[in-house]
Amino acid sequence: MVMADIWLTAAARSALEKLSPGQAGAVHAAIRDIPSKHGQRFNIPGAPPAEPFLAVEPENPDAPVVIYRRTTTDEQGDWLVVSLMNPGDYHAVRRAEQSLAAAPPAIRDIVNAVVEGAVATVNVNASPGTATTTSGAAPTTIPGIPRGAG
Amino acid sequence: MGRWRRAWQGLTGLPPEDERAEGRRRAREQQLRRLRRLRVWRRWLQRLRWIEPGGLPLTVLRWLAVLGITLAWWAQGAVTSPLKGWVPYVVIVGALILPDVAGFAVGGFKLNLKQAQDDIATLRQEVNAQARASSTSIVAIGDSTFAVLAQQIARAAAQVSDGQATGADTQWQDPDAVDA
Repeated sequence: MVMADIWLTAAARSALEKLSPGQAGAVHAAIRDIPSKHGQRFNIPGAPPAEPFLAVEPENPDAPVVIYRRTTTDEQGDWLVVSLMNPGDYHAVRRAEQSLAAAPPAIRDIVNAVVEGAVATVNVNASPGTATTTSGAAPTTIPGIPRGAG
Repeated sequence: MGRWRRAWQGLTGLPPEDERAEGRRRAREQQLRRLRRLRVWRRWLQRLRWIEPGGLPLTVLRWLAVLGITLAWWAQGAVTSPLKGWVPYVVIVGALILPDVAGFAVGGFKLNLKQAQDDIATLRQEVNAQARASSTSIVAIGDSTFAVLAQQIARAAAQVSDGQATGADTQWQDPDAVDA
């Protein structure tokens, strides 16, 4: 069997290292199933346009939910585990999505605008001298002002 | 230079061409004086704008004016027989003390100004409360609010975005495969 090339972000790796052995085992099992099982689509802004976020819930209900996506052409590997999310937060988002599905389109637009505004962040710590912006699409790293300039 | 010139002109009289200039200068000075007076009045009025009608300085002034008018009426002989001898005083005094009057009654007609003011204040508070309630009810349905939903989604999205921003860091190793 050919092993799928799955990569973890630094945040996901750090979260995985902090888990208890039982939770970590469940998360590893969920990650192992990523190539064979298609996770549930997780509609939140921030993903590249062609590669939406997917979510897979480990069998252990206390273990965090694995949020992942397919890699883009300029990323290495086949899959990227983006984040591990607290199950409570994950289910709250799912419930929120269901509630919003029944809401009028105008309300959905307002909520989407609020969410996208919250996600439009500037992570200056991506690498020294660069700023990574994420705003409803793939992160874009832009060259920053060299330190000491100005 | 101007002083010597004016002194010389005072002795010899103004040359005819300078008379017109002097007239223009006087007119300009008058206009400047008028503008200065106007500015002083405007400043004074602007300062008055900050004084509340029911505030202490104006209340004291009003009652001093009432006292002054009463003394003036008394000094004129406290005339009561022709109406024009006392009605103007009463009208002016009535107008001055009107802000302090809580209410008055004439025959069966009773006007409680204090009560009316309180009612208006209460009504205003109720209108404001209703306006606030209607603005929040736009985003409230049942026991959940869209604001809360948006907050939950935004928090999750921010967490995922933050994770994504850290970039692909490590290739995942299956612990079971490593153990085997």
